[in-house]
Amino acid sequence: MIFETHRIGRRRTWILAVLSVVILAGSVLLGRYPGPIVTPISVIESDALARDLILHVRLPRIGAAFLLGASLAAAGAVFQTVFRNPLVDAGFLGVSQGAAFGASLAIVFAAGNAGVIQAGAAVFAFVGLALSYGLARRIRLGDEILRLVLSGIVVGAFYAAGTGILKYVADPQKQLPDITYWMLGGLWGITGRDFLELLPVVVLGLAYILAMRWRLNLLAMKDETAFSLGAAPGRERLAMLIVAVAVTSVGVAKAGQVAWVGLIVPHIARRLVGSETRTLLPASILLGGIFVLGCDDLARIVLSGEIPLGILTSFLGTLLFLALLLRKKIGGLE
Amino acid sequence: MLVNRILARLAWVIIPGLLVASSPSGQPSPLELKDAAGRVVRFDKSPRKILIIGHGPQIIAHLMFMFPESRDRLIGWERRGATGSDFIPFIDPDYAKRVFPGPNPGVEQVAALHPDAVLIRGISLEAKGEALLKVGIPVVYLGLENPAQYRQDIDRIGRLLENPGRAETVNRFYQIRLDRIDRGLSGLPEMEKPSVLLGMTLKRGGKIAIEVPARAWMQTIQVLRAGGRPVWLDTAAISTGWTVVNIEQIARWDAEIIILVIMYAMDPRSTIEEIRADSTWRAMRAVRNGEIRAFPSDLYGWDSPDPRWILGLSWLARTLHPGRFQTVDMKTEIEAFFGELYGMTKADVALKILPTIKADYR
Amino acid sequence: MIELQGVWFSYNGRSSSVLSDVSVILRSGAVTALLGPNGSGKTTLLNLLLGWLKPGEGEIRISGRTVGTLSGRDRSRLIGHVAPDEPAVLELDVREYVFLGRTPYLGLSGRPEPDDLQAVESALETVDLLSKAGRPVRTLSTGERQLAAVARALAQDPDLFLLDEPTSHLDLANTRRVLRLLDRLRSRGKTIILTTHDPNTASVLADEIVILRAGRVLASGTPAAVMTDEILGAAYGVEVDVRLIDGRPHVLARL
Repeated sequence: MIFETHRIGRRRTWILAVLSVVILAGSVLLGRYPGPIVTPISVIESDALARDLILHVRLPRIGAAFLLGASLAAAGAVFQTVFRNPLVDAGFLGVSQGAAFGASLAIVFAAGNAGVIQAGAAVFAFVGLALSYGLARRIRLGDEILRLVLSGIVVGAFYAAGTGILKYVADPQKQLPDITYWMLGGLWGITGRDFLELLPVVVLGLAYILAMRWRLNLLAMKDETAFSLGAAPGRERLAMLIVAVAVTSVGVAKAGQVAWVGLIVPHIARRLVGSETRTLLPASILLGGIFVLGCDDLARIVLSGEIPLGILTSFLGTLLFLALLLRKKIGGLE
Repeated sequence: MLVNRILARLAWVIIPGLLVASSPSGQPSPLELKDAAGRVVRFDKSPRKILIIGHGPQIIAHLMFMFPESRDRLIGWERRGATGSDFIPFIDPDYAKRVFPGPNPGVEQVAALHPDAVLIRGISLEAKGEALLKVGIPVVYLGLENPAQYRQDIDRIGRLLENPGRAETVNRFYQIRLDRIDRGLSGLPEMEKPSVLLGMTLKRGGKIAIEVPARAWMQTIQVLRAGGRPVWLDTAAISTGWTVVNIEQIARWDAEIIILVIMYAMDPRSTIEEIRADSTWRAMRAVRNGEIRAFPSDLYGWDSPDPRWILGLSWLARTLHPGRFQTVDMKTEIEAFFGELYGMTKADVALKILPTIKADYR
Repeated sequence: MIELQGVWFSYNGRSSSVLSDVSVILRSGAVTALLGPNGSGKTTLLNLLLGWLKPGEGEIRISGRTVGTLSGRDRSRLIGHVAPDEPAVLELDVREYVFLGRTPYLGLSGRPEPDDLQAVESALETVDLLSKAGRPVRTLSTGERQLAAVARALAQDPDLFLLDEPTSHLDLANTRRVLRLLDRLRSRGKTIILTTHDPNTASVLADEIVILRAGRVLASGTPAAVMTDEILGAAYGVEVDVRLIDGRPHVLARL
């Protein structure tokens, strides 16, 4: 906002905001009914079923997709800044592995009741965070960041092993395909109620992260230095991580695992607007929403069958990232 | 005089030759068959200790028990779910003696049971099967995915158990019904075939999405042979797997008849009622016209490649073309299936099978 | 004035201590060097002064206030901290990084006032990094990064500067730049406490030197008083040759 780079970053963020509105509005007109791709306004006026589908099926799904992308990207940016490591996302502290484990547990032992799956995913995601923190306390090696990284790896691996065992004991006809499908992620089951359950947690969580985004810069410094600047690094870091995990796990609980968004979108945002968190976070949030919504639109309209969302986000995400890496300079923000 | 001497000389050659040709050989003639994977499998004698492993082992087991020899010759089969089978205890007095290796048994575990034949469902070679061959255990692959494969596989089992007559009987049972359906549908113009959507309900998001079966699967074939037009044929999955379709696509297809395979954990009747009451679903003509049904099942689904598929097919034909199949009575069909193929009495069927049918099968 | 009284500290319980029985008084408006071999507890002492670590026993007071009781806000306006190996705060520009030093004066949103912008620019000018201010920190050399860190502390404008090994990785030119800068700060009335393991650095700049060995204060006083063959030899455990040149002690380099 004051520096030249910030000016460019702010302008681009505004462009992203406009793009968000455009894609949100446009997505409402995309769908398989009456299809195959675009639903003209005239049809909406005349066909009650089209209106019904838009209201009860498309709108919740579009909203959920945007929220999901926004929260995954925001959490990814938070994690990357807090851990000073560009290769992490919310899965780093055993969070996404915990969600996978919780969901698989519900599928195998709770007859795969949808509510139980979501609760299981959310609960075990948090347990993952708690375990990582608890374990980090007991490790005597390096500073808090390193300890968290190490325990995150351990907890994540432990959960992954647990999920492997669950996949092994799962009924291959009935349960295993459910687990596999959950791991690929998809929004085809989102109802209005799901969206309304997502909304408050995500909005509040993102509001907190946005309010505290300046402080996030401090957390990227050495703890002693952040402390000298008036921060309480341990506490602030924990608060940020809890909020980041919360918004991630509700999204993952509803949509399954959607890979790569938290990892790649912040990088793309960084290339567009710079690393300073006051511009990076809003840009990541908008970009994440646009990206996942775009992928979900493709998932639900290109073929008559649903394409798993995780496949699209991985594929398109890595392509986008590659394109950005290969361009040497983006308007002064190298 | 010379002729006599020549004949006598020839007799020394011919008679021993005839004797040799007509005597039984030192060993019994080997059993040879070509399995579903195209392999030629040879047995010295008909196997006496048969084990079933691999995918859907109870499908093969259900088929084996149509042959009386299985009672003595089937050691058991891989247990992939909670039980070996919910059905076989009704017809197998020696069920307690069967062995059920846990899921994915290793080669050593299989060998420890000393089988002289292992049956695997599939049409391509599996690593497990190859490993068993290396330790000298014969493996027979059975397809069991569509009616044509069933016919051949039943023949194979008949040869394996040295009871081709029974195989003939079983195949005739299926063929009679297949012929009846074909006859009933003869002259049916393409346009009169109703469009059908057959899908499996989902546990997650089941209100607004279902899964459709692969093109090569039994479910799709059943709809085709019962004189329906499956609307999902163009959808992604070809040879394997269920594909999720969301409700917009379902609305777009707007099939005349919707048949849902209800997940085992859900109740068919209440699920159908919920769907009927839902305003979005009600916009579809199948729901409005009351043409939405649950695919019936007893202890096992009639839609799957289990031997019961013939019941599913008969039911489907009746449902899609009631006018042409008025004489088909499902209760009679059920009694015939379990009676002729498994020897269950009508009373037994009424007591053990009928109560397990949760959907409307009439 | 900074007082340490009977300070005892250990990272893990009674079994081993990193600092014991440290009682010194450090003057305001002066440069104090904490000198000693590696592992003598210098960084720990600095972190105790910062308030980041809490002494197991004893008290630390700055201008009469116990360090542990300072609020975050008060502390941030009082004490600035510069340490080695600051992670290159992921791709921030030099200017953005120096701006972080203004945190104590900013609200939650980090929105700057003209004063803040001015402080950043003058800090950059003081360390002569204006020309590189728009580049990411990671593109700077080690010496320049250290200067940027000092600039950040300058922008923070505290009364007390705590610097942990500020010149240890720098070449001659950059070492001189940093030391001259610290000298200027002293003349502005700032209090500076730095750790170093190089006696000559301490000698050329410090008003007072506190020598630590194995967590205890070996000696404290002016450079001339404490930098003797015997004291330094005892501190480092090797033979040391100290000469006075222009009234200042220097350790001669030798094999």
